[in-house]
Amino acid sequence: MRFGVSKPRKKRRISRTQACLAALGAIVICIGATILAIESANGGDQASLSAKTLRIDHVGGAREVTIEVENDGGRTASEVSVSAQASGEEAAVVIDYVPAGGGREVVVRLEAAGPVEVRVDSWIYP
Amino acid sequence: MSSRHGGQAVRSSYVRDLGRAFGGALLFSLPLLMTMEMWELGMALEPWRQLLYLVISLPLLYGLAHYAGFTNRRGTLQNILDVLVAVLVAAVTASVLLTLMGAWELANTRVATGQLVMQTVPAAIGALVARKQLAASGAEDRIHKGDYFGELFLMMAGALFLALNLAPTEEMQLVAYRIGPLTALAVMALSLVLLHLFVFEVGFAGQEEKETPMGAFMHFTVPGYAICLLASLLILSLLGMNDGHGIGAIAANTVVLAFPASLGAAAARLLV
Repeated sequence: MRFGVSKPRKKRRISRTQACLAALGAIVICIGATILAIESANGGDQASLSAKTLRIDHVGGAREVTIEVENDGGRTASEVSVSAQASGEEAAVVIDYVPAGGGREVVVRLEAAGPVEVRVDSWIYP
Repeated sequence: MSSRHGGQAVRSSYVRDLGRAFGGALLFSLPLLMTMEMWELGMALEPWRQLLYLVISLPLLYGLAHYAGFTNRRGTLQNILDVLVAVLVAAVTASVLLTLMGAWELANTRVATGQLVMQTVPAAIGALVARKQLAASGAEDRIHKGDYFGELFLMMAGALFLALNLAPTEEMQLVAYRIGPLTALAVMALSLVLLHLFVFEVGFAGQEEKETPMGAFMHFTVPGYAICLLASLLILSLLGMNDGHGIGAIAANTVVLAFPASLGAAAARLLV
């Protein structure tokens, strides 16, 4: 027995695999938190919606109008009502969500001829 | 030679633990991964709420790592490592499933991040309780007799988990809108009765054998239900479900959500 020398403590091993995976997990948390923090700081409290005609396809005797709705604001809009009009005929569609900084494509069908006007009619904030 | 064999044994044991973690993440997160409202929360919920959700979840996950964990190793550092690995496991599980279901909006970074964050937390909870749930042989109980706050913590974790599963759904608010104050009181009473039946019949750690029903009621049931109410209020507020509501409606929402939360709180001690 050696006096004055304490028994060495058993070191609990942390495997390389565990350390690497934990580091990756920390990176995932940091990236997620960073993106959310930046979006929180930069995002506004209003949606800014616009609609434009992407293309018009002639199908049978009618026209299928593909509309792109974009939200350039900082807040997601829901129940977005979009309509297309031509020669007094109107076709409307409601989009569940248009996320901030994102867009959606919708298709409406018009029988009437003439120039097509598209617009965003209304929305609510979720 | 023996240290090489020892190292291999540690690695294969850890790989097994990881497998269980993935299994737990999948099992616990699947209902939410296939819930449309959770996908939509990724885009509808403000980023600051999603960030707060992530930040608040980390101490909860640490507590679960301490009391459960998907490995049998203990200590502060091990708990932190368990949490980080559980988050990674959960993120991988959620991203794969969201992609397979065509629900992950990768074209928009903000939405994709929000969707992943919302799904990662419940999956990480599942990963951390995997050892107790999925181990071939019974994992030892980390809640020792007398750990009162440990029991309350687990009740809170169970309440939060079940509340999170149901809070995003429109049906919760619909029920709250439909029921009047008397029915809400009845829901409270039923929640207390069911929670107490679990507490007294199952026998929580720290509960003395000769403890009377009233003693168990005051010692565990009442604080446990209070925790369920607070957990429900927290989840509803975090998800913006209480925004624009008056105090009566907030109370009704909270009581309705606290009913499944109380079952989650009662079941947590059985699961962890």
